[in-house]
Order: sequence, then C-alpha cells, then structure tokens
Amino acid sequence: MKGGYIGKFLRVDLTNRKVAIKELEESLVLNYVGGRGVGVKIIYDEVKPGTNPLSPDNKLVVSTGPLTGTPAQSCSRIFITSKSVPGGVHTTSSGGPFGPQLKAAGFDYIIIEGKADKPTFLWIYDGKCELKDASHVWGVFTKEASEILKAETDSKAEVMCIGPAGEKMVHFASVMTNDGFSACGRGGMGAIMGSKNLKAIVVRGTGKVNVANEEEMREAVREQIELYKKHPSFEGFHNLGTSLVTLAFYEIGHNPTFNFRQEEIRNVEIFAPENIGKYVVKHYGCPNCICGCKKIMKITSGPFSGVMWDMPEYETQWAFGNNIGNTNFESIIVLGMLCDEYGMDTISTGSVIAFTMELCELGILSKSEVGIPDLHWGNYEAAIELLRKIALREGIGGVLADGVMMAAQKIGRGAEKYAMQIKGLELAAYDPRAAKAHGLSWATLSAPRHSIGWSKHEIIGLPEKVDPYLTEGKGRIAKYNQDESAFCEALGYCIMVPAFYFATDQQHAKLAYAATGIKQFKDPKYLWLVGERIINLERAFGVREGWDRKQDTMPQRIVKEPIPRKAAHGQVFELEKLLDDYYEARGWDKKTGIPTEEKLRELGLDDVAKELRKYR
Amino acid sequence: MITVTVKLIGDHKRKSATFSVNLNKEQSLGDLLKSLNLEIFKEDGGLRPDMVVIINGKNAHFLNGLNTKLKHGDVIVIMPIVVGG
Repeated sequence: MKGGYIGKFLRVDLTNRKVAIKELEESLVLNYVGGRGVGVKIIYDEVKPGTNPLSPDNKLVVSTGPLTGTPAQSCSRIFITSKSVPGGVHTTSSGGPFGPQLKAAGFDYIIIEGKADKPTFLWIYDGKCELKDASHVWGVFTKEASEILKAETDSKAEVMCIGPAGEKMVHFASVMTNDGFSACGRGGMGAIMGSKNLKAIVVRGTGKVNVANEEEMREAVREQIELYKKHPSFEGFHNLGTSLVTLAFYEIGHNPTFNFRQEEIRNVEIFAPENIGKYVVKHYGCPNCICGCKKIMKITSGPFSGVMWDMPEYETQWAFGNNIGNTNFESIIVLGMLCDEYGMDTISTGSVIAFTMELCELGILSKSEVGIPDLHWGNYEAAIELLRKIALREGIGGVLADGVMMAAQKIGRGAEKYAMQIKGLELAAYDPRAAKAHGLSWATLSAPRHSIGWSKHEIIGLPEKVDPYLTEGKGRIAKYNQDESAFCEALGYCIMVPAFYFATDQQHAKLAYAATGIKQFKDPKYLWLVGERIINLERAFGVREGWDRKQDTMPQRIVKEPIPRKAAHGQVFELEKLLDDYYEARGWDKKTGIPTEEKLRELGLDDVAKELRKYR
Repeated sequence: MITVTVKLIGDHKRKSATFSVNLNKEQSLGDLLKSLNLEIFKEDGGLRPDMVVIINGKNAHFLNGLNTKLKHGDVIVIMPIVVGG
C-alpha cells in the first residue's frame, strides 16, 4: 500500500480470547475501498442468513476509510457495520478522534466475533491488542467508563464504549465515542457489543498515516477548503452546527411533530437558531475538519442548572422536541445527555417515547401499564422517567426497549398503526411526505438511517433543483444520494460532506488518489460504481434474509394521512409509484425489488448473482 | 388589500422574527422582498445563494420565483439555506 491504508487489520475472537493480526487484501480495497464498503462486504461474507443479530454468530466490523487520519477534511470518522438488531446490514458512524487513533495504532479495521465469557474490553496500542477485564466498568455510564479506562491505559487513548442500555441489549443502544459525546447511534450496535460482553475498545497509537503523494494531497486539501468556504451554508453551519436547521425544517413541513401527526406546535420559536446559540459555551470539531460544527452547551438557571453537555444535534432536538410536543430546550439537552450516558440512540428513543405518548392519549396503553402518571405530549419530566425505564428495561421499559415495531406487536390493540418505523428502524427527523426522494431513499435502503438520502436536490437545490413534492424522477435522485453516500462513507467521509454538497466527486477522487496512489480512484465514475456496488450488496444481504419489495414500505400514516399543517399541506407519500420509479432507476426487478442478475454482473458481483437465484 | 405573514429565520448574524405585511393585490414576491429592505439580494437582482424563500411551505423556486403572485393569508418564510443534521 502506497498510502492512505495502514495495510493491517485485527481479527478478534472473543469466545476463544484470540487476536490475529492480518494483512489487508488488495482486492477488498479495490472493490469496496474501506469504511462502510469494507464493513458491508465482510458482514455479507461472514454472517450467514438467519443469524440472530444478538448471538455470538453475529460479527462487528469497526473500520476506517483510506482518507481517515490524512489531512483530507471531514474524514475523522469511525464506522461500525453489523447485521443490525432490526435485521438488515447496517453501518453507523461517529466523528471525533477514534478513527484516526485506530490507524495511528496500526490498523485499518477490526473484525470482532464470538462472545466473551465475562465483561471485556480491547486494549489496542501501537500494533498490539489485548483482551482485558471490564467487570469494574460494567454498568457504568459511558463518559465515566471512558474516563476510567483512559486513566488505566493511557490518558491520550480514545475510547469506544457502551453504557447500561447496551449491556441490557436495548435494541437501539448506541456505541459512544469521544468521551461519551459522539455516537455510533443507529441500528443497535451497542446491543450487539453488549451481547458479546464487550464493554469497550480503547486505542492509542503514535504512528502516522502516510499518503502516496504529499504534494498532491496538500493541493487537493487546499482546494477542498476553498470549496467549503465558498459554500453558501458553510458559515452558518460552522457557527451553529445542525441547530441551524430545526426551525427552518419545521417551516417547510420537513420536521415532523407529535409522532408524525404533523399538527402545529406552539412556542416553536424557541428553536430559532439564535436562541439555541445562547447555550453555546464552546465551539469544537473533529480533527482535520474546518467545519467545527460541534458545540458544548451549558445550562445556568432553572431545574437543569449546572448541566454542561454536547449540543443536541438537529435529530435529537427533533426527537425530544417537536416529535414529543416539547418546546423546553433545556430539557432536550438533558434528554440527549441521558441517552449519551446510558448509551441509547436519541432518534429511536424519542420515537419510542412519542409512540408511547400517543398510545396513552388514545387509551391503547393505560396509565397503570406505563407506570408514569401524566405521560402526555410535552411533559418532559415524564419523558425523562420513561427514558430511564427503557434504558434499564424496567416495567413497560422492557417492552419499549425492543423498539416500536416489536413493542407494537407485543402491545397489540392496534398499536402498530402508530409505530413509525421502516424495516424495524424508527423514522428520523424528516417527513417523507415533504421531500419524496428523501423518503424514497429510506423506504428502499437496507437500513433507513436518518443521514442517508438527505435530499440536497429537494431542499437546497444542489446539484440540481428538484421539486420536493413531485413523484416523477425521484428514483434517479434517491439512487444518486444512496450511491454517493455509500462511496463517501467508504472513503471515510462524514456524511455532511455529500449531504451539503461541500465538495464535488472530482474533489473526492483527487483526494482519494493523492492519499492512496490507486489509479482507479482517480476516476469519479469508478467511485460511483463502488457506491452502487455497496448498495447492491446491502440489498443482497436483505434478500438472503427473505426481504423483497414488501419490506420497502412506509408507515400507514405517511402513505394515507395528508399533512394537515400549512407547510407541505395535503402531501402524502405515493409509495408504489415511487418504488416503481426507483427499481427502474436501479435496474432491479420491479415485481420483487431484487437486483437483476444483469445488474449484479455489471457490478462484478457474479457470485452474489448466483447466490440470489434461489430467492427469485 | 391583502395581508401576508413574513417569518424570518435567523442564524449567527440575524435574529428570527414574525410579522404581518399589507400588500396591494397584484404584488409579487419580489415586490414584497424589496419592500422589506433585507440584505438578501445579489447585485444582479437575484436572491443571495445562502437564502431560501418559502411560500406556504414550498420553495418559491418551484412556484414562479420572484414573480410569484401573493395571496391573502400566504406565509412567506425567509431562511438560510440548510440541508439536514
């Protein structure tokens, strides 16, 4: 390897407490690049269809991209890929220094398999890896556990760990990095770590990531920074991060309220960016990223006075704000903090709370079943109590901790109608009715993550202006956003880069080539093909699990109930029509939603084409 | 005479605000925006690239742009360009 890659990975067998250091395979890199691509390929090859995601047979891939740890901007990411708790192959990622630190310690990625017989953490330092006892930090909050493990190993180490929710296998438990401030949030990766008795991974490295051509890299980064600074959203994003979005999205009908009932919210003005900005006491960011979008907030008065925590991102502001009818911003900071400490995804947690509030309002769940008096819209104190019950699987929390789809099945009584999920994953902070290419991306992905398919076309009109309400041509736009995010996450990028269109595909290719010296990466078309290959492999994973067009769906509310608010008034999600358009754009069979043999062969996936024959 | 509601969404420089404006019936979005005297135009008369104007939840670009005729009760939102979070 000329640069970008370290050239080594770790295979950790927790059952037999064995660690092996292996050489990176060139064909894997050429076809899947790194990050999400490498993760998806390994999980496809090594996790058999029908595997219980919370069994020792499931595996975790913790990976970086070739741009991680180089001077390229916005690539300080770490990706976790597994068969997610909802069942599809899923990649989730976080920013912060963990990714660069893993490469500095001498590894591009880690494959984790089996199950430890007792609480364990991995200690990885300068080319070595040990399994160590984690009994003393089992049951401990994520920030405190991170601090304890750093004090025991190296104060400059980076920690990825789970909290009590992961240990109790809450289905939407997160994996926290960055001292408990950043989350690999979605898909229940924390529950998978918990099922393996793996509390944490601690890394420390003093090595360097070489790049193939330093001069070309310097020039490409200079150009990248120039592009960022010219972008119309850059300054606002730099100053306010994702807080810039909340009120604006509410006004375009893209910020759902009351569990997607979309009624108007009183006092929504508290989400005005300049109001949220008042809580900011520190601006910071990931290594090698001039965006610096992260903020520390402090509460200095009222019942939550004394709390200082990471700024709740847009998704969290929605999850504990408009989606549960709550406009007390300080309580949103606290709810976000509690999720981080217990190690739970804020999006799914907020969605579960909204679902429960609606069931209580409709009388489907009684107060005695829930065990919390006054669990009604906007009651943040009741929401805090419910969050705790979920994290610790206490009372009704034990049912809700399985996510809205499974909870609705257990509760019955028509509860399924109010479970806002696709393929078992709770919907995030956008309304598919108000931006249809965005919704279509969710409906069709193996795991409808919040951040995949942000449709810049429909919202900001880049790289082309597309009417958000029209159905025509949305298959092509959804494919574009999915493929682009897949190759960007393979390279190691933060999803904000393709989402905002901060840089072009030519720029990505230039950086990829300068870092790795791999000539194929010089061509943007090659990278697009890698993205398409990753999406098709994710799809094939789902097909092997028995998924087809029937799983590409939307909650009934999104398909049947027109938005009542003035913004996006009357819009519904025209599911079947949009799906037809998408399968056509993808070259997949319209009837089944399965990639055609021709398409798979075109992407070099001949073995996958053969394997899928029996599912057609 | 018609009345429309204008909502400005702030950022690190501008404050958010909501107010009503009375207009003659035939006035367009461009007329309204010019009368508000906000710093949202480029020298060539087009909108600045970091601003978006929404009429009743829909980007004015997909209506008739600055020539869109306004109706009584319209809600016009002027906001910084944002994509997701």
